[in-house]
Amino acid sequence: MRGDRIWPPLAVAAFALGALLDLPELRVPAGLVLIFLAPGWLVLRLGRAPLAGWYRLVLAAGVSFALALASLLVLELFGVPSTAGAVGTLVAGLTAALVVADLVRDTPPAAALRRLRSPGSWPVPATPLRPLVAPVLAGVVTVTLAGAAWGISAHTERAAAARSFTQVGLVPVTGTQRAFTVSVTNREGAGTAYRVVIESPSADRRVVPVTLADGATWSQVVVVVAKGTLEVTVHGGSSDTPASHRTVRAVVL
Amino acid sequence: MAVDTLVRPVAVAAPAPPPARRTFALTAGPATALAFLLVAVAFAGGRAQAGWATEVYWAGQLLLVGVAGLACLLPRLTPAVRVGTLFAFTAAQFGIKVAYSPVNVKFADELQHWQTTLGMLDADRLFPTNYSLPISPVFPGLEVLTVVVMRVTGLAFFPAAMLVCLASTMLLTAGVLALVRQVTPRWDVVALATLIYLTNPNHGFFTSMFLYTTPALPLLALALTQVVSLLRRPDRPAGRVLLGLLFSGGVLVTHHLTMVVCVALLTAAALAAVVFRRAARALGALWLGVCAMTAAWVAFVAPAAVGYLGGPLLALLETFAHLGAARPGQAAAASTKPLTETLLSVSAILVLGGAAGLLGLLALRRRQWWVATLLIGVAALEAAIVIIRVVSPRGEELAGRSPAYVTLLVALVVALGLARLGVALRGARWHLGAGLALLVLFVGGITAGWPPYWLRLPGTYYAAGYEASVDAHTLQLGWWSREHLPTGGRFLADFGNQNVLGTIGGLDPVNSPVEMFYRPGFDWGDRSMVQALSIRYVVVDRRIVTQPPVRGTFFIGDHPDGLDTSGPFPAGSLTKFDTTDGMGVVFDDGVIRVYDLRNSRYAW
Repeated sequence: MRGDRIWPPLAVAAFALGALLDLPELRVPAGLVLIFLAPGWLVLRLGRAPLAGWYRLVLAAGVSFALALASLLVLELFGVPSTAGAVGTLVAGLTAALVVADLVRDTPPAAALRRLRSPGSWPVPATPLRPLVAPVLAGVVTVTLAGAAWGISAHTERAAAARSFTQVGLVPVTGTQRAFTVSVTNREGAGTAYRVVIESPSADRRVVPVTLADGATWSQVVVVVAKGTLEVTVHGGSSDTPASHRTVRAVVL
Repeated sequence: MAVDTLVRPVAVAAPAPPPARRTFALTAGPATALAFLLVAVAFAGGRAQAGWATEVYWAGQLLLVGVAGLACLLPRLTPAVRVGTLFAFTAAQFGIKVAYSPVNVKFADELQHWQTTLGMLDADRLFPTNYSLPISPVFPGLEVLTVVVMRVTGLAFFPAAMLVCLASTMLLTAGVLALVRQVTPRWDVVALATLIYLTNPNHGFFTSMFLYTTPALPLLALALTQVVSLLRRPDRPAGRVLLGLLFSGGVLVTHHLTMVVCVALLTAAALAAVVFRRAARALGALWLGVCAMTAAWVAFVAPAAVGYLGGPLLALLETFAHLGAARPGQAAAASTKPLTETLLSVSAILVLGGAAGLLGLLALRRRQWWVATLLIGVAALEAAIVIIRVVSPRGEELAGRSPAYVTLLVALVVALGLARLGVALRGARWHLGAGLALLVLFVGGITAGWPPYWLRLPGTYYAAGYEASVDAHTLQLGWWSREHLPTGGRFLADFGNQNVLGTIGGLDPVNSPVEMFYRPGFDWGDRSMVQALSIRYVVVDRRIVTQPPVRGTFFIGDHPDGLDTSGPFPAGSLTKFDTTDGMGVVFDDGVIRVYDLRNSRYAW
């Protein structure tokens, strides 16, 4: 079997294995090949188009794009939700079906199986290694420089985008008029102690001490028994904000 | 003239001695990666407010175009080296776009498409509601590809979206190469024409973004490749007609404007086929098929596209109808762009149009009438862009989207002219001229493209300043809103918060009523407006009182005549929301407050 024929079934197998064993190292590259290259490659093979190698590759990618676009439209047409299982099965199944069609196109199934099993079908590289040293080194330098560029960008963006603040929310509980959820979310970048002051109409002022880890949220439902304004003030935390506290309120009619 | 003489093979020069070729081939990749690294370091410097960042940025960009230019202009390089360097150039351009915002998408249009993707992921179905860009769900190609990548590979949104954009930009370069290769077998000309396309102002940033243009463009290039291939070689057309239908169908479900361009170009090609009696049946069938698909999609799935595209088309027609009455410089007067940048942007268009025009004159001298017609035609197209840019009040916006399409035609026709006229890309004078022209095209492309000069290096917060107004406060408010506020709640906000809340926040933005913000106190007119537009929330970002709006205004939409929005927002006009009777506050993070108007004077 020629090399241009063996890689699509290998991609399907690698994807299936990666999905079954939950191995992203296999699933991601194989999945990308199944989306962006393999189906188009096989369609062009089945079409017996006499194309130059580079042009076949370009058209294969384009056809794969178009088929990937069609995939969710087909699911939508038949009312099938586009879950991971459905989309994965459709994408891998399409390529698998095209692989089978490609295998049986020229040869009867038995001969196709024999070809698959034949150890002599694997292409053996005959290129001497020495001329490859310089291109491989150039490739390594290129990838290293590009990786460094990406690393510097991601690191400096994360550092520059970091802000210390605390989010306070007060929203009605769905379906009720006088019950409200107060929430405090710590985005200070470190564990923080807060003092939450709740002032409710016709009720005593309550002070609640709250300590939150970074990224954690504290929430509580407050029920208001009389008309007036429910006000929640949160003290503590950062920061780069002009006010030393945050206040939310709800007006109950 | 018979169309089968469209391609005239030119003798290929003898290969260079291996060491010279090999040296360039070995250094082109690392040099391109070094250029990317320099720009990434400049971005890091921008985030640290370093003074050297701008110089390093331009050094990186010049190195990038220098390597790509050499790959096109040096004689006797192999096609593989030329093409490989162009792909490295494309990858570096995309890398620069990602390095600008490597953690999240931030540009307003990207956020809008993120919203459509989120809707599709939430419902596991197509066509979700998108309040911020209602047309996006009915052209879901970009989001479909992203959801397919996410579902198949298990990747999160951002890496999946970036992979889709990377695959699209690489396929676009491949598509342009394939398209140009249809008109000439000379790889030096193919590479040069492709690089001309890659220097267009849209390519570096805009058509690499998470936008529906990004995957639509390569499919358009591939559809055109089939059309040119049919014109060139009409025998056994069935396969290419089918491919043309497939690629055009991909364009159709992905982007409305590219769909219009695709149908227009197909119509022109079909007419040419009839006139030249060349592949008329095949191109007629392709044209009919694409028109039928387009009509069906617009009629049954995307009727809103008619109204959506109608506005800009009318504005374009209006521009030409009022050419005589327009005041030159009107647009420039409203722009804060430095004069050097404006001159570079216009020079790039003039260089490209001028090159096509000169080749057209040469073709006229040699009596190659149809080649001359095509060359002078694309030169006129470039001139039209300059006119629109300078004359139309919306010139920047109208001309801004055109290079991605117009340059595709220009690259194709210039390649055709170079090949048909037998122009040999040799000699020091030619290399110097072509090198300078490429430099002007590339630098002019950067100055005319995205981001604007004041946003070219990331790291500075600008209130209502496109990506620079989207930071942790706005993004986290968006996610908080998505979780806590009712979907589709209507709201007013400044530019940055409107873009985030109207997309990932799941709320419905209301444009225009900026007077309500600027008024010093409550007004009964505002109450009528709030009730008429069912506005529930007002978002106040207190940072707008600390700096003037870099875009000239803090808000999206029309502003009343005479309202001066050039300075920092008057602080007193924001405090009225705290003193108006019955105002609720549903969110406060110390910087941004979200007011609930439901029980306030604005509502009763």
